[in-house]
Amino acid sequence: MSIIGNQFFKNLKYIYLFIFPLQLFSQITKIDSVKHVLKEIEIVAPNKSEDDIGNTLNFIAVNSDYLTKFQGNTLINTLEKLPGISSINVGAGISKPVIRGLSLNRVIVNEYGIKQEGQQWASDHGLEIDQFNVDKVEIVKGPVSVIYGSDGLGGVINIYPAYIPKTDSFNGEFVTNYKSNNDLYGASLKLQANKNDVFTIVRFTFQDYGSYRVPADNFTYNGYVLPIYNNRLKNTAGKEINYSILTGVKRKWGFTRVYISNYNQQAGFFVGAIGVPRAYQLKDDGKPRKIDIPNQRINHFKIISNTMINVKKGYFEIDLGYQFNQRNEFSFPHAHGVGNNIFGNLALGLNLQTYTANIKFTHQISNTFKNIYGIAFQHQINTKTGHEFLIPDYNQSQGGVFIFSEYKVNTNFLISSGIRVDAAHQKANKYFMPKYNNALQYIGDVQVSPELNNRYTNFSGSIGSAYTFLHKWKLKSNIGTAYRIPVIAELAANGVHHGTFRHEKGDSSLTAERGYMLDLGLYRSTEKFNFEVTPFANYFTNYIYLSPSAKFSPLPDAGQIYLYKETKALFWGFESTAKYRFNNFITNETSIEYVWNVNRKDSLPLPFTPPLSFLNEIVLTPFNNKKKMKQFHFTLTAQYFAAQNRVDRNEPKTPDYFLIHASISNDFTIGKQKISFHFQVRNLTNTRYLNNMSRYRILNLPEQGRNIQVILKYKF
Amino acid sequence: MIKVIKQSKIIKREILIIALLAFFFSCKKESIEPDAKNNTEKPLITVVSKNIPTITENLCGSSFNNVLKVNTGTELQIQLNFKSVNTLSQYKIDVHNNFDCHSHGKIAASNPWYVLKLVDVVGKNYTVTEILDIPSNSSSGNYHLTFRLLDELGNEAQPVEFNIVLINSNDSINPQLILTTPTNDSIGIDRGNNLNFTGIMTDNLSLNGGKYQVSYKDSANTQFDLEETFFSVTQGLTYNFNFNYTIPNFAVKGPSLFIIKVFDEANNVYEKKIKVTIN
Repeated sequence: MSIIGNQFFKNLKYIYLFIFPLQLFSQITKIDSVKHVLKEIEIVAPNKSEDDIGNTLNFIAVNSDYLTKFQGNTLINTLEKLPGISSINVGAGISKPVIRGLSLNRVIVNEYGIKQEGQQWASDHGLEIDQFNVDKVEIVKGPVSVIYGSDGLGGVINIYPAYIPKTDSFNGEFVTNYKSNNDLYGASLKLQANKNDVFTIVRFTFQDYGSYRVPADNFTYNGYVLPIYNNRLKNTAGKEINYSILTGVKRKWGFTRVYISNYNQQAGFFVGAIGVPRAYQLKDDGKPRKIDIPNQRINHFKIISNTMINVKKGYFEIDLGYQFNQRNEFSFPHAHGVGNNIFGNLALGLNLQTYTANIKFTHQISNTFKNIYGIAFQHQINTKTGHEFLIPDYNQSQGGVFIFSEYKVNTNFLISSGIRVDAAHQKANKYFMPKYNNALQYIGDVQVSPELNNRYTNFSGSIGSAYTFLHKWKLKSNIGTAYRIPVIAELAANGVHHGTFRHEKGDSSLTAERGYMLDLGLYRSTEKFNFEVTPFANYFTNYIYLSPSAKFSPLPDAGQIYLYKETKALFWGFESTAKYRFNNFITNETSIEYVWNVNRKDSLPLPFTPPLSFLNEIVLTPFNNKKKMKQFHFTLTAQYFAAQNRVDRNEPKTPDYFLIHASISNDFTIGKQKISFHFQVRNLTNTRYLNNMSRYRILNLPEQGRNIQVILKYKF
Repeated sequence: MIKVIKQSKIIKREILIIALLAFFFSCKKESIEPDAKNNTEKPLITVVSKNIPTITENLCGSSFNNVLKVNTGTELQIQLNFKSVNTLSQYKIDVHNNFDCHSHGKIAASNPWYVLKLVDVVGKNYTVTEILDIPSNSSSGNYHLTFRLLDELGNEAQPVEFNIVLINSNDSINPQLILTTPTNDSIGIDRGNNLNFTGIMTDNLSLNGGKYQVSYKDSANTQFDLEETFFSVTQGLTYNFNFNYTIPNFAVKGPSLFIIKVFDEANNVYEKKIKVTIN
């Protein structure tokens, strides 16, 4: 039985790969044969921005329906299906966004207009966002430095607030989910009320999961075959408890609202991930839900205030925010050659407070001409605890002013341009660490990081255009400069980083990252057939990266030192998507994405580059003509990831893999209540594969196996 | 029909392009010179010879085939060859104890053997005999020995690792524990009651700076560490042992195992197991 099953799935792979090119041709020949009214189901307003800024840029927007239907382990895992988006993962609960091969501080995540700040410089630090609390996400790819300032070279992920509830209403939503692979169960409750346009939205979310399963009972590390008991990666369990309150008032003059949220996560690290994995550590303790050491505990608290005031010929937007990110990474002192200490097992604690203020004025000068004036400010204070040293305490201030103009030459032609001036200041004191002799006795202090007092200024600019031709075609182009100030880790890190288990060392002489970005987009959209191709090329005159050095760490049990260095780098690539609606019942979407990059210093690729990948997705809505089953969807998604042989030094090559996911969803109405049901199987064939974007890749650990997920959403 | 022909032409052209690209990339790979900045070939560590044979032994509950058994006060001689197409840079020798199987953070108050050595090397083929002197007063127990190698470009060799079982030459005799209560190795107790262990710990040479540990494993196989007490540095040959533990009301019923470990100055270990059935 299982042999037949395996054979079937193997064949499915070929069937899919054949469908892909054939379908492209069939689409081209069938253009415009029948006219249908296109219902926007998943991807809403693909080319329009909520911000109404930068309409010449490349946008993707998705709503909460889409996020529920294709829910991954995290928000970013859900979004990575979209062209040009990928993620860097640590197990099943920690992930961070990658846009066009750019990651870490090169991707900005804005929630409610405020940039999320949570030590995003490290590949093992996840994004602290409650995925149930996201109603609408928009991803902007391309040069955005003018609008968003430092960082965001790859792009911006904007998370928008829930829609304001209807006037004089009270309702809510209860969502519950289950995932078989790591026995995850979760629930989220949302209540919202609006009385006389004074509104409040409250949400509480809870998730708890065990160690995840992989389709393997062993892995190979450093020539040794190590066991994986019961197919579970020991100590990869976790839990999340989040809450948020949003309250505001809507009036003729505009609106104002306050958002308070708290995200709390505890996530275990695979026991073999800190240091060299050994067989006896991996023995099953019979407690797959236990979060043992090593682990990380994250708490992200924020208060955001958004105000919009309508004035004659325009409106003001005032966004203020305070965030407190607490990151605690626990591991045994022994694994780092440190004896008993006052911090116990707290290896690294980082407390980052961020104050943000963004003020924008949109000035509609005429029907065809609009200016946006903006001023932005951010101040950060970081303190550290724990028995390890990685980065020092620091203060950082940044500010910028910009003018962005949009001019409609005619109904088919829009041009935009912007200029921005930024300034920043960083300050950190010298840091000393106690030094121990061979017998682990204290023998004095040694300086581990330099004093920093750095100032940066930058001038950035961009020009873009959007041109509509032959009614359904659109051509967008953008050229801009890229800018990012170095993060403290790049300047002053010095120590074994628990999450990556590498000795990482900063360089205080590094300068700001700069470059030029070119972004093009050709779009064709009709009700029947959508097609887009979006090539890009980024040339960095200064790009900061972590490079393996020729020297070893003087710390016990640690390998070579990784140094932050700067180089010239080139990135190019493209995404392309074709979506064809055969009829009312069948829609097929095919996409391809590719990133190529090179470090000009050593002619090697840069690490964590996503491989070439294809996606084909068939959506069946067979009961579209029946009233009760109108929302019934069956989706079959196939993804092919080519081998990643373009790797950096000491980064292993990763073979290709093929994944199939399937999902069924439907809405039921019982009386006045609506229940939506989502059933999804990810990695349907339980394929064993390695992902070069995973932290566990260096341990040769396979990725998550088959995962059966059920989500029930009850609206009342 | 015409369209079909066009498609097949396109496909043929694509195949040709892919083949050319594949050819281009495969050619590019071979032309990388040694010491060129984009050369990523890893150096290699080979163990040429050593004065102690490798054996297979069970350590920390798993079998290892890379075990070296050595006495303190002797020396470990290992001849290593380092080879690379690129110029070599540095090797690292790391010896640290694995007394607790890297599972918890407590460090013994004993005298562990410890080596941390960084050595710069030159050339592309380098052979060295590393002589590691093991101090005669080093603690008995399990250790890890790792050799690592880098070339000038930062390419890292696959590390070579050994498990070392160290035997203290002055004292390889385990300490002893004679229990007066309980008198039997298999007892029963109700939850909420006090469990008392009394007895005498002795050693042939010295308990100075040693320790004892008490832990128990319940019938669900969960291990609880109850106590770790260090002996004074002038403890001498005996220690009067007295330990009380109240079985909690939430304890899992059924057969459990109490384990008492005694460590002498040289870190030799005696282990006593008592079956306790919790009712």
